[in-house]
Amino acid sequence: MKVGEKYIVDKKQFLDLLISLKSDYDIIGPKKMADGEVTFDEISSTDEITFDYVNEYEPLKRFLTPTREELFQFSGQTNNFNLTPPKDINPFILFGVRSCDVQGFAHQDGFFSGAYVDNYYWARRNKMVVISMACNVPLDTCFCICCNGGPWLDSGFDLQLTDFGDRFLVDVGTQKGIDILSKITTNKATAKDEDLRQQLMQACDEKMVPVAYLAKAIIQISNNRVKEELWEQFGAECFSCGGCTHVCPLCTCYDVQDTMTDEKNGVRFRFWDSCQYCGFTHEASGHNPRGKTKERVKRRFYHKLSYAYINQDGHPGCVGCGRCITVCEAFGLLDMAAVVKRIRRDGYMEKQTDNAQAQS
Amino acid sequence: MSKVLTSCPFCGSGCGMYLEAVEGQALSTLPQRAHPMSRGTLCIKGWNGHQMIHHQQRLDQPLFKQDNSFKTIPWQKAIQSVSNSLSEIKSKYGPDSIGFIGSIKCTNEENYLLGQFARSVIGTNNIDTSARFYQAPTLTALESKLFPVAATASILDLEKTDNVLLVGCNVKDQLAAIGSLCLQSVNRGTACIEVDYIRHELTRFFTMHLQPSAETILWVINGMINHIIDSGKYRVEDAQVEKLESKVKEFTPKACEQKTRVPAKEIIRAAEMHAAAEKSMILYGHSVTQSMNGTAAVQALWNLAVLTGHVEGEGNGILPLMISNNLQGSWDMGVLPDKLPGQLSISREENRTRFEKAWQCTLPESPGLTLPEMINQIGRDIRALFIVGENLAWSAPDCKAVEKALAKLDLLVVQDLFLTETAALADVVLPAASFAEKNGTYTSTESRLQRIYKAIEPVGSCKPDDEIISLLAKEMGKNLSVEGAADIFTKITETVDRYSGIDFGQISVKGGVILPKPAIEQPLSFLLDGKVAEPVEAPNDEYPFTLIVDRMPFHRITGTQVNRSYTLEKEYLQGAVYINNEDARELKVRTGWQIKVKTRRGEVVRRVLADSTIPKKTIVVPVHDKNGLTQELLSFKYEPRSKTPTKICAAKLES
Repeated sequence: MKVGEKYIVDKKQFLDLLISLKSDYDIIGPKKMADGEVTFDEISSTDEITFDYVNEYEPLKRFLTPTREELFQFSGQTNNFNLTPPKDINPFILFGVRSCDVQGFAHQDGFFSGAYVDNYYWARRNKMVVISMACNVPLDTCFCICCNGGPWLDSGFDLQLTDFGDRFLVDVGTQKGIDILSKITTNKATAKDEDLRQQLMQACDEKMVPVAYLAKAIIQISNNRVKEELWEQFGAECFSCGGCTHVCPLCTCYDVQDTMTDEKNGVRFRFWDSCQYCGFTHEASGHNPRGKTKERVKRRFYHKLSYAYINQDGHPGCVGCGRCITVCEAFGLLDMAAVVKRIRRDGYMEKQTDNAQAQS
Repeated sequence: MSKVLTSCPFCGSGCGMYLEAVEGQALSTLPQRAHPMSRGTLCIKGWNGHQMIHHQQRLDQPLFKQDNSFKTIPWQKAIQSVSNSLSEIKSKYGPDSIGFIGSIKCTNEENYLLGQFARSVIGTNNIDTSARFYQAPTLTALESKLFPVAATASILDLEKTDNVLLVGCNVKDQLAAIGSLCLQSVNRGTACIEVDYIRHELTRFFTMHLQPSAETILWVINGMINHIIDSGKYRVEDAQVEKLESKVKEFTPKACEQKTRVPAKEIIRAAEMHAAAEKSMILYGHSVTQSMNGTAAVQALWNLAVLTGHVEGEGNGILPLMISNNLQGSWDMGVLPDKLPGQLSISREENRTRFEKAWQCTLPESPGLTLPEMINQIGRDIRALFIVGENLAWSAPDCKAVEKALAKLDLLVVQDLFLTETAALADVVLPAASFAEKNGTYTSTESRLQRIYKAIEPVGSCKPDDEIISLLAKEMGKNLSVEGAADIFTKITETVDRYSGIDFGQISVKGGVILPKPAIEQPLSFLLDGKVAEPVEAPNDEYPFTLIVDRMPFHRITGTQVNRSYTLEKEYLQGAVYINNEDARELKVRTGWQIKVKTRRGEVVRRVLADSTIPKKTIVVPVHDKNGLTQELLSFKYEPRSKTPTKICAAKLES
């Protein structure tokens, strides 16, 4: 068995294998809630797993950077602190993750490495096994095909499953994946199987409703050529709820706080923050470089779409999961698909104007 | 990790959300995609307000004041002490010397039980909520027309209407979900006319903005009515219109222009749009109600709806915009001095009999005191106040005076999550459970009844408010014989018609139940007893500015909860005050500079934000700014009919 190979496994056998790994891993998979919503939570038997889902609303980045994460506990006084690190977490398998979230993990990996390696992040990341599930049926808000976010991926997963009804086609992504898959009987995928997969991919592509042609928006934003009036319009429309950053699988910003549990003991923790909030850049002096809503909306799309960041990250800041379409209070106006469309259609300054400005 | 469905406890919109709990801690929220109204959205409060649940300042044990400082005491002792003090005051001064303040934030069950406790155990009708400060004119104006007083339209009617008349509400910041639907409707081509003193962020997208000067919204509405009658574009019988005609004959658009500074042709255009629309909705908020003409203005809006045939039906109706999650519920549960649960008048014998049977007691007949009257009577008729989840020392206008009054009480008991400014004055503070720690129901501004579910065990030794009241009643020798929210809800369904037939366990997880619309008095008729009042303080040479209170998106009521959210707390612009550019120039100040705002009651120093959208000679101050009290600037004078204090006064600026 090698990385990059494709295998066929029996679905039931594979799920039984998954549950049998309970002793070594926490198994996290998709579950149905009372109102029909799906959530990724701990699974203890195969009956709990649902296959009737497109994606969870909350991005799965929360398994790597929890919404609120304890950094350490402290006790004592000035210059004499005792610090206690948080307890270790168990290795875990994320089963059924969609490709957009897997691409999100890749972005998170980049952010939390480099010059400042985030040990908290990597402590979780190294214990995570990703068994992803390619999408056959997109939501009417999905546009991953525009952003290299799916519905199938070439890398980023340990194992990638394609649902063939009673069988899975498995893409092997890493050695971790091989270690798991080699525990059950597998057959190499035939040309016919690959054909079927190709058909499913094609069918899924055709079902995507929103289109987000990022290219023009990337060019206009990177060259600072989007009309100021359009940003102003965005600013007036934005409710500053912060929902878009919360549900974005790529957003990484957090805030850090200390809180006392009693008079002598306290906890330092970090929690998700949003660049869409006024307080995000509020400086101690009272000055706020992004005090206006339009400046914050602008900032968000600069970070997602300008060359400066694409160069640094290797990809635009969007995987096309479409969650921001649902979450936006200015419904249909300020999500990624809408903004790139509005910039493309009427939001950019003509190059001429730009040149004229440069000359003057 | 578990996700527990609940409904958002902040504004009156009633959005659906999940609370995520890990190891007994509520760590985050997520909007509910399957909710029929909010559809997967939350505002900044919904996303971050939960951070207060585990804030280090959460009270976790009862506090007892001794020698001017608090010490912690066990629950049993606290309950005993409150019970003894209440009994003592009751026997010495009579039951009407005790007042109860319920909460527009607590659940229906808690409010119902508090009402039962006040009326059946103590025997007083002195019970009210801070709804008095916000929406009471709605109740006063419409109680003869609607039973019970509630919205005649649903929020989702915004998707079916042709015209929206949005009066006096910063809807984007206050009830974001409704603001979102307004914006969506406008983008679909629905006309939206906004009437408010201030130009808000959403205003630029609306079809029209009528910007009257302070305290003159009534003139704009009556001007519209005058024009509709004059041009014959009404949809009622001529005979009926005659009475209204004589009432509004002085309010010609020209006369209204003089009074309000809104051009007559704009009043006429707005009137024609509203009258011509096949379906039209009226939404109104606090600039209407927190005024000396509050009741008259709500009556005028009713008259406008009747005149144009927009009182009820799909895409029609009146929707009062309520600032808090359960303001409507507090009314329905009878947390009012003159009404029993179901908004039944206390003065009628058959209503009293219904509850005397249910509660096994004799009920006091005469209506009690309203909240402002209770405060005014402290030291005279009122000797003790029992306050549930209300920060009067901050929420009341002229709050410094209110704080002094509260200090004079023989007994002050406060149930709250935090040691608020009011709780700090209390003799006994009882720590209450937050929305994450209890079961119950809320009734939203559109009368959508929704469940909240317990996601975590109460912090420390906190108890849900209903449990505290139950314990207290038992200690005072009266068993209210209820066990938890489900049980109380069953009692509610047995006694309150509007809630009858609803099974607590069966309330839908997808947006709950929309309660029956109120019965409307037939045939439809006008409200003709409105009188025009002048503002409490008109600007003069000494105080040439008009001070208006506005609201911020990250804030709710006094901020007891939202100020304890790390994220929301950061949102505050340090003590800002908005004034017009030209005024700033005259005063020789610039944005960012400090300025002193003075009224007849107090002064605060704030940072100037000069803004061309603010009308001239007007100061806009964010309500309950944590960096300095706005409320101490305001007058405690209230509108005589609804007893709602005005939130507008005269002020001056000193650079």
